[in-house]
Amino acid sequence: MKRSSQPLPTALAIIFIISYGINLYVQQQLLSALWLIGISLGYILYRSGICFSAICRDPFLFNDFSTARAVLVLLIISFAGTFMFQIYSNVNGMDIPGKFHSWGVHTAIGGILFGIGMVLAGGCAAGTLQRIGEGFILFLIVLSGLVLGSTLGAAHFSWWTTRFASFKPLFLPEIFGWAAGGILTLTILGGLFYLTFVLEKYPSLQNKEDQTWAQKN
Amino acid sequence: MIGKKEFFYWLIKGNWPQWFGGILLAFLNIILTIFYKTWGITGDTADWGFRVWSFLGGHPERWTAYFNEVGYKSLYKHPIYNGDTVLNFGLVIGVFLAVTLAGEFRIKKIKSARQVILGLIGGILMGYGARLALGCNVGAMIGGISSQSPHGWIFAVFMIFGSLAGSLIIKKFFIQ
Repeated sequence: MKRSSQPLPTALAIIFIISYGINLYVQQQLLSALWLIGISLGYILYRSGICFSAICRDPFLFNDFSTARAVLVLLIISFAGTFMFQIYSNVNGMDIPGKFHSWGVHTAIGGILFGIGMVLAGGCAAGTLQRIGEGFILFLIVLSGLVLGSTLGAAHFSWWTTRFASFKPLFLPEIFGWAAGGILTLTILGGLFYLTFVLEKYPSLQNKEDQTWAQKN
Repeated sequence: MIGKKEFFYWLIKGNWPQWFGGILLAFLNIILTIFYKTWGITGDTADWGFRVWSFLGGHPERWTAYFNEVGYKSLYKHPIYNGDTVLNFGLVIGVFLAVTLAGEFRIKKIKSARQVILGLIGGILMGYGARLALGCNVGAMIGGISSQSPHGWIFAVFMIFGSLAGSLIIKKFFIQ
């Protein structure tokens, strides 16, 4: 499938990227850097075809673990880099960087709803933005659903956290110690990575019916 | 030895292995963590919704539990010139650049009403779930797990259950 480039849209994209980048640079330098990072994120997502909603779908349906493995590689490197920066910040007396949030029943419910929504819509949050860039009109509708849903979710947030168990944000090394916490995370991620190779050897676990359905769709 | 031409071709049209994409995304996430904040997507889509809601006469600023949780200052920041929106918009444009460079861009029309309904319901569920869990698969799973916060692990495990449930729903009700 050899396709030629599309010079006009490409030129428009490049001109827009540069001019909007300059506009952002004038507003705030950080924004122009984030603009370039965002563009790189999109470029990499599309070129490598990494799709987060395929993490659990492909192993079950196709015995294909490539996405699951790629996401585990992402997690392991991201964890290693973040952990080093956390250690650096701690040594230098700064706040520990990273994403820390309350967790509890609302996290589990949120995960389930997100998983269902991801399959129904046919793409996760990053995938939705990606497919808008690819030209899918449908995903503009998914995005409006995403905006509506996330607003409702924020509005109902206190309803869920006050009625069901919710615990304060936690940094795992605070419980286990820095070394043990880091080793624990690395062991789990490494173990899952190893598990993908073990499970790959048992294609008989899949359902034949599922396969034909998934290939049709 | 790979020539310049082959490298350029690979850069704009090659099928990069997924693990390679994973490595590059991981490094960008680390850079974001160091110089800005860990990569996230749906915090920003909620922010767009708040603006629409307050434009329509609502009072999103009263949802204090949520704002305390996310350390929110967003309602005071510029609607377009803020880091999260720039990052999300950049992602869309980055994909567009990749697609046009490879000559693969075309507008894909909506095929059926079923797609619209599924897409809308799916989007709402995703957004709602992401705000309850305080992150999507990017913000909560990648961000949370790599920061060693329990919410990342819980989200990831239950997201897998959810997507299995979603597959069953699709199979049961939408496949003839």
